[in-house]
This record gives sequence, C-alpha cells and structure tokens, in this order.
Amino acid sequence: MVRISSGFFRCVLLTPTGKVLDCRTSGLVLPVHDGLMGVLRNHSPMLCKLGKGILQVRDIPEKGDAFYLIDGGFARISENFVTVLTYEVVTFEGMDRETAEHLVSRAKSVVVGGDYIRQTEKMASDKAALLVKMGEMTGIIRKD
Amino acid sequence: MASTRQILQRRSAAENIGKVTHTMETVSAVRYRQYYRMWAESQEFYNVLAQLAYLVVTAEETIDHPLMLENGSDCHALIVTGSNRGLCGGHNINIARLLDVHVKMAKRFGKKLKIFAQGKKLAVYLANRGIEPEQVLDAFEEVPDVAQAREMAADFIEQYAQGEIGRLSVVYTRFFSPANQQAQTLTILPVADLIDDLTTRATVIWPWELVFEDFLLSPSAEEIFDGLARMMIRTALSSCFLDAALSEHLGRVIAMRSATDNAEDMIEELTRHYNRARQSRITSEMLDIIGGVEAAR
Repeated sequence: MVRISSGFFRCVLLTPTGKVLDCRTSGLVLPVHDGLMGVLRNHSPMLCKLGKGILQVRDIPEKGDAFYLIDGGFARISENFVTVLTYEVVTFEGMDRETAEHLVSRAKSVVVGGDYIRQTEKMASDKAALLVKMGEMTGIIRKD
Repeated sequence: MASTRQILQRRSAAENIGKVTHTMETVSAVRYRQYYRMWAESQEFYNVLAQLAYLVVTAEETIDHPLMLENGSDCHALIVTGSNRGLCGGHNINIARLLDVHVKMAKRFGKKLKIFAQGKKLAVYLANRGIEPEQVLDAFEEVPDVAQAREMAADFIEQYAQGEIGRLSVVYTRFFSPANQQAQTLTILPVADLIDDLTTRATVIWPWELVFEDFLLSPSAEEIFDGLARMMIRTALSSCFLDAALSEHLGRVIAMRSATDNAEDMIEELTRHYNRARQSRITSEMLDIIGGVEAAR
C-alpha cells in the first residue's frame, strides 16, 4: 500500500525567462483555476490549469518554505515530479528586506486606494492584494 | 604609383572603417550574448510546453477546438521579421526571398495576404516592391515584452476567431544553434501546425523513459487546450522575434568581424606601400644630392 503523505518529491517552476525554482519539497499548495490544491508525494498524475494566486512550496531542504505569486499557467504532476509553467512570477527571494517592504507598501496603497477602479486596475489591485498576503506569509509585514 | 599622401589618406579611411566595424561588432556581440542567454533559458519552458501539447493532443479524448481547425477564410496573415539596420550578412535578403515566395503563392492561389512587417529595412524593401503592409510593427525595438506579446497574440487569436484571417504565419530566421540559422516560415494558426512544429523540433528533449500515463484533467480537456493553445501562440510569437533578433546580431557579429579583419589587412598592406614609397622618395632625393655634389666637383 502506498503511504500518502510522507517523503519528498521534485518541483520545478519554469517561466520563458528561465527556471525560477528546482527543488525537493514535502508539499505544495497550487493556486489552480478554481481554488487551491494541495499536492503531496505520490499524487495521482494530473494536468491542471492555474489561476492567479500564491504558490506555496513547503519544507525545501536547507531553505524552508517558499512563496511565489503567479498569474495563470499550467501544472503537470507525474511520477512525483511537479512542473509548473507560468508567465509571470513575483517572489521576495533574492530581494533585500527594504525593497520587499517598499513593494508591499506600494501594493497596500493600491489595495486601499480609490473607490472606483476600472477592470484593468481591478486586476492590478487583485495582484497587489495577493502580494500583501505573500508579504504577511513570508513575514515581510505583520498581519493587521 | 600613388603618392605617400594618397596612401596615408587611404590608410586613414581604412582605419576609420575598421573602428566603425569593430564598434558594430562589439555592440552586436553584447546584444547577441544577452539574447542567447534568454534563448537558452527559455528552451526548458518550450520543451515542457511541447510535452504538454503532445499529451493533450494524443489523449484518448479528441479535442475539436476552433483554434485547431481551419476557419475557411482566404486571408493569410504574415508576420515578417526584418532588421532595423543593415550589415548583418544575408539576414534581410533571405527573409525577402521567402516573402517573395509567399507573395507569388498568394497570387497564384487567389489568397489575400496581410503583411505585418517588422524592421526599417523590410519596410524599405516592401515600399520598393510596391507592396503595402497591413501594419508596420514598430511598438518594440526587436523583441516584444511580456505585455506586448500577450496583446499581439490576443489580437491575432481574435482575428482568427472572427474569421478575418484564415492562417497566421511568421517569416523569420530561426536560430537552431550558433552554427546554424535558417530563414523559414512557421505557421502559428491553425494551432495544429504549431503543435506539429513544437513536438518535432530538434531542440525538444523528450524524456523517452517517461511513460505518459493516464492523467486527470482539471478543468475539462477543452478548457485546458484553450489555455494551452493561447500560451503556445504567445510563446511562439515571442520565440520567433527572439530567434530573429539573435540571428541578426550573430550575422552582424560575423560580418563585422570579417570586415574588421579585412580593414586591418588593408591597413597593413597600405602601411607597407607607404613605407616603400617613402623609402624610394628618400633614395631618389639622396641620389639627387649625390648627383649634384658630383656635378659641382
């Protein structure tokens, strides 16, 4: 019998500009088109469409948890190998704390600013809200 | 024989040409390295995209998506990628030759051709041939950014869905490797041809040991394919422009390196001529002096 949750598997995050992440992980939370989907070792083979949201990568050896804000794409799960294809990735990795805080505060101002916003601005606002959430998850800012 | 002054003028001209060609080579080499890094880093993305496309189209469930099927329109949209500057070997002329073939074919089969031209050199060529392009793509320098590629892809998909165009192709110089670039036409819409190209291109690394087992699809196969097709079209468009820019700069590096080498050879040759001319002038002056002294005795 296959044990469901124990052990690691490989995860690769790809964009047209290069490989953002290639690691072993114990679990993932994928922002799929209709919500969030958890992936553990020995997940069934799957091809799914992604939505806008935060990709959470858990327990990366010598690194801990990692968070990536992605906007659409596809994920393929096969033989303990998860490949995530997406166009745009925002991450705080490799960014100094000051820059990250500045980015989150700018995102916050987009979220709270303006009663009336157009559709394109609404999309930017959604993304900014997710960025603020990712800032809270990574500890860049404290939760209000 | 040319005078020393004339030789010096010619040498100075050759030196100036050498400086210009060397500068052009350096500028293109920097751009080439930048684009080559982008190209190399994007290859894995294209490989995985090709694998996904293969998985979806070879699944047991058949997909009849509008972007997969011919829409019956007799209008052929052609994106042609030229360069803004010359001196890049046969880059522009090969593209122009291929474009001529498309123009002749369209005339022969009674199809309407909509040309979307990129690059000043190509615009000049089209003007000389009396061909009016549908649009000159001048919103970006060489390679469109993410938003521009998305907008361009969405625009062409919309035109295809409305039946305004029946086929979308890109005429560009494809970069296979630093030793091999070829002008070719890539058909992007209907997307079946693009999938065929993606899954059979030599740069795709197929994990043959990997068995494409049964897999779940979320959402439905049609919706997955719709998103995948749009991603493929957008990626293919960006990739074509990147390949074209990469090939152009590589072509210019090679051409300008050769021109710089030739200028250096010419400078060396002219220096030799100058020294010979100078020496013969000195010798004749000395002979004149000796002759004058002898006559005075």
